[in-house]
Amino acid sequence: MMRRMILCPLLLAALMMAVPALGQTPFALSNIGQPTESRDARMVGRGGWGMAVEDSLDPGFTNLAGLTALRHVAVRFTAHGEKGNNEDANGSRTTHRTMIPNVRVGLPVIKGKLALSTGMEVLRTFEYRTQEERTWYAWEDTLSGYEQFLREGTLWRVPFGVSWKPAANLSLGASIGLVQGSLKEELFNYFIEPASANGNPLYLATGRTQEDTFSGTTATLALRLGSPGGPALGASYTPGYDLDVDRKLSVGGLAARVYESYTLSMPEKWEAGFELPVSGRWRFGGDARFQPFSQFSGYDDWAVDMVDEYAIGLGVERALAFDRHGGGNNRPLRLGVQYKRWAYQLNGEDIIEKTVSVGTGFPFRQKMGMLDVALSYSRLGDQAKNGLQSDIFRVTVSVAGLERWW
Amino acid sequence: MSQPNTMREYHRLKGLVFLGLLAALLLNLAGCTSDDANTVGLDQVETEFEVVLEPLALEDITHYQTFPVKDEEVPLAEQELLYFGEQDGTASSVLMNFDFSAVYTQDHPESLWTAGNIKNVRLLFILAESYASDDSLNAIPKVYDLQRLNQPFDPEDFPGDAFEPTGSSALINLELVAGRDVSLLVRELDFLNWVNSGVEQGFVLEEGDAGSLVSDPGLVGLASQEIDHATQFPAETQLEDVRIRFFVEFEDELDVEGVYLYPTEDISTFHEIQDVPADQADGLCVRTCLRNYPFLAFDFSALPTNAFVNRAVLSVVNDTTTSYGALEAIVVSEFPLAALPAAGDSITLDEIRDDVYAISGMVNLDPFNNAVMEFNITTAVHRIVNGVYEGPRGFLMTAGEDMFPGYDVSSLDPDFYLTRFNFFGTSAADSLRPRLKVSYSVVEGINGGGE
Repeated sequence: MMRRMILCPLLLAALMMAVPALGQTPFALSNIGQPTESRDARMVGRGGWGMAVEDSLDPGFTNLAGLTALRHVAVRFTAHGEKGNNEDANGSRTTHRTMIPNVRVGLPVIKGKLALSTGMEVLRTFEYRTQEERTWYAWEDTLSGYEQFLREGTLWRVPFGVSWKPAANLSLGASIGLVQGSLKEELFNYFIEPASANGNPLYLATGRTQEDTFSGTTATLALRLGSPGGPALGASYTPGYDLDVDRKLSVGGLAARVYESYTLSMPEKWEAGFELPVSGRWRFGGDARFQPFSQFSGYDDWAVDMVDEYAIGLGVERALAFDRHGGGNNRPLRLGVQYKRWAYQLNGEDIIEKTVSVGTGFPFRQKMGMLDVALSYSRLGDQAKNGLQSDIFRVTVSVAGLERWW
Repeated sequence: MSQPNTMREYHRLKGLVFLGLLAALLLNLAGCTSDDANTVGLDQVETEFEVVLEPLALEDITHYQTFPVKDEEVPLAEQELLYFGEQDGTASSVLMNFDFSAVYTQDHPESLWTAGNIKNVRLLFILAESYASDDSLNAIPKVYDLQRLNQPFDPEDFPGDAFEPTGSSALINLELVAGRDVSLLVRELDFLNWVNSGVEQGFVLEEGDAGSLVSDPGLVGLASQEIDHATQFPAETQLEDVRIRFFVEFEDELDVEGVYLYPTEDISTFHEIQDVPADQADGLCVRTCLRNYPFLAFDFSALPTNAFVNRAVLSVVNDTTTSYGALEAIVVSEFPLAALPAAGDSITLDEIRDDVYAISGMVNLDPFNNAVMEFNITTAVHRIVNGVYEGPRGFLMTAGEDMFPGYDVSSLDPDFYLTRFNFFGTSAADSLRPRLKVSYSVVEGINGGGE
């Protein structure tokens, strides 16, 4: 109880403090944005591996087919805080941010057989701002100020899923999801000087705002094969889908608006993973994800730089144990690596994200949930190739609460 | 404490420490403020507007009108200051009506009012501090003359020249008076005749003809019976002493207090009023006291459709060699063409108040020294560009009237001082013309394509 009393307010404080301090990698400035790691801390800690998971204590929502083991209503939320050191030829900048990429709820209908699930997961994020000091000239005035470009928004999904276990070693899952989101790009010229006696700039800032609103639906089919404690396989397939986009272009101070609509054709997505018992409590696993963004269409500005996006993660985990007087030896331990290529190129070169991670977890009393933690470090991009590079240190925390706990 | 309990406590503490460290780490990563945005990432985005801060001078005036403005609450006869003299085509004398029907009192019975008892009779007045001359320490030298009118004046006849002096001066001496505290000796016999008449008599204080002595040009101001701003007169003066009046002093041995006689009515004649330019080519004029304000609407067709106006200023240049008067505010307001009076007609302040929308202004403008004036009218141009109003609008230039509290910083209303700002017109040299100086930006995708 004391732990919760201390930890929960600290976590809430961290999330609240983060709101005005948003900042992401400058890679998110372009194209379809940063693919968001929406997996929970348990999976992040072992390199993202999670497609083959089936766990009633610490349910994974990555593969819906793995939810049939649910025996209690489960709520899981994931939060992460990260620090990014970003460098390009223009200099460097350190950014911090937090986000909650994943909130999921699972409901067992027939324990061990049939479960329903819903929630929210962030698919992609856009959040970065640049600023450059500038000098302009108008009439007899020399103006000083800065030019700012801001990109922000998220693309997220609300899946409604069903999971069914027709046979002892076979689970199936399916979901339909609403995909929503927005992307705002703002370019402002702020003319700070000259200013009036009360400090108001004499020249009004010019601001262009382009807002895209996304909406669509997607479906996913999932499969899991394997016995408890034994080798297991998991896979899912998300067919390509359309995203309807409504765009509004406006300039602050002008009544005129320009509206247009278009449709993005999002490519299909394949995911697969495995896990193998190695020795004792140790298991080895891996996941792969593939989404051929080279087939993306609907917005030429993005499509021209797109490539197939994929991610491969491998990791090991020492499973949680409940040995009496086991102490720290009962804790799970996780290690993993991940290699990811983003959906678009920058500077004509692939954007590669390499990640190493470690993690552990803490079960709640009476096995009514888990708190998982992962620490990871990612090298994103290559300054020599992309002209830009980010080093990201991230703490991911997930809480899985089962029925009686919450 | 048993050994298992100790071990349990140890593990619990260890977990607690770990969670604390975890929370602290999360706080560190989440709560730190990012570095201020800088140029990192700039190479990935296009940060140029199509056109930035393009200068555009709008000089074509599509509608110009100048018109008198009346303050129904303060007609000419109730203005606090009376004007005397001539300046740049504006000339005024001071008319007064005195009622001699109630001169005799218990303290000053009829028997007292004889030539032998009266020591002297004076006409007293003080020139207003800010309107004696452009040098506030010295008044403009004037030759004053006082004459009786053939009949009392009617305030309704003024401004104008509907008054008839008798032609003979009521003053003992016509001389050049340079001081601000003026005391003019009146012929006693003339005065006794007026008293004995027992009726209302009209008088004019006008510039006198004293041979080689000639008044210096320029208007001066003196207090009327409605004066309410003693601060405009020398600080040592009491309010009741600044009004123009007769003072009758009796011989010392009579030991009788002197008598002040105040006009029942007084007014400035303004029998000549310098014209204000009727054509924009000849100039714009903002005039107070005898209010006259200009209106001008510009042609915005040279501004690209849906351009964003970063700044727009109405630039006018005051001709400091011909402008005169006291410090005054000038306010530029939006005003609909439909609310303008017909050509040649006047408008009232109340009618202006109904339709005016103040945009910009400046206070404490000195007509003798402030030449270039630029009024920031950016927001008004935004409204015009955005088509906010149904009918066409232009810009009305006024003084700091009560309806503009932000610019009405003086306790004096614009009816007090006669101030004239003469701005150069459209036929003046390029640098002197009235114009809108616009700086605009064009945003790709919006320009010309707005809905």
